[in-house]
Amino acid sequence: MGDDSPDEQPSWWKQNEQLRAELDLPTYDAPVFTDETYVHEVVSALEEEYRCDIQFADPTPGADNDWEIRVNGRPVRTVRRWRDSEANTVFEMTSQEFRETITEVFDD
Amino acid sequence: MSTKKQDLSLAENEHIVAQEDELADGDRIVVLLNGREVGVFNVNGEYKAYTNWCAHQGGPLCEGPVTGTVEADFDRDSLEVELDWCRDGEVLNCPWHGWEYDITSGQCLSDSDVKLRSFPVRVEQGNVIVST
Repeated sequence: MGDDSPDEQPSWWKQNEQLRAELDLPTYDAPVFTDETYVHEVVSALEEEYRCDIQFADPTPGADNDWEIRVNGRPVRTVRRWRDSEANTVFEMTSQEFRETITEVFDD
Repeated sequence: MSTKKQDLSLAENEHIVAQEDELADGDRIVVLLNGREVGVFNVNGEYKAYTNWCAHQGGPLCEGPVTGTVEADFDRDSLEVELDWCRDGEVLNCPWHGWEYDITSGQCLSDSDVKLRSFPVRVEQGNVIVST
């Protein structure tokens, strides 16, 4: 999924790969949207564009799979999250939908 | 306009995950930090943070039920097994296959070689901050 080459991967990527390897878990891949775009790439770009903090959080773990998208700590919408067959994270929206969500926050 | 992270001069690996009043004793939250999900728990007033990957098959461990566990004591004379429910509120169960972990230490109850990766947690100006 995604197209991050090793040289373009953020520093935490290797840490996550190592942690998964230590636990003998399936190969790590960073969280993606349903169009297979990496979440961190889109978030970084939008945080820089709008000078904000964007976070994905589940305030009611175990109740359902609805996570919150938070901008500067404030929830702006929910999104379903699931794990694929390799136990990697997928958020059930496209990267375009996500961009529109953040853009609307600052257009209001 | 500065962000809260900038206002607190947090390092790159430090993340505000919640406000203190969002995480009362017994509460928890799971957040995405640096490409991995991290569960943050308030256990008897102390914050604990663990990777949301069960050591078994990577399940979303931090979303499972928090319960106690059963300890068995075998009596060699009577050949009877006595089962006791204990450690209520201290055992985290993976929702995928039921692996159990001590929520206070991250130690797996069924495999002493397995322990969850934990992260330091601190509170500053009412913000719960996790270092990854």
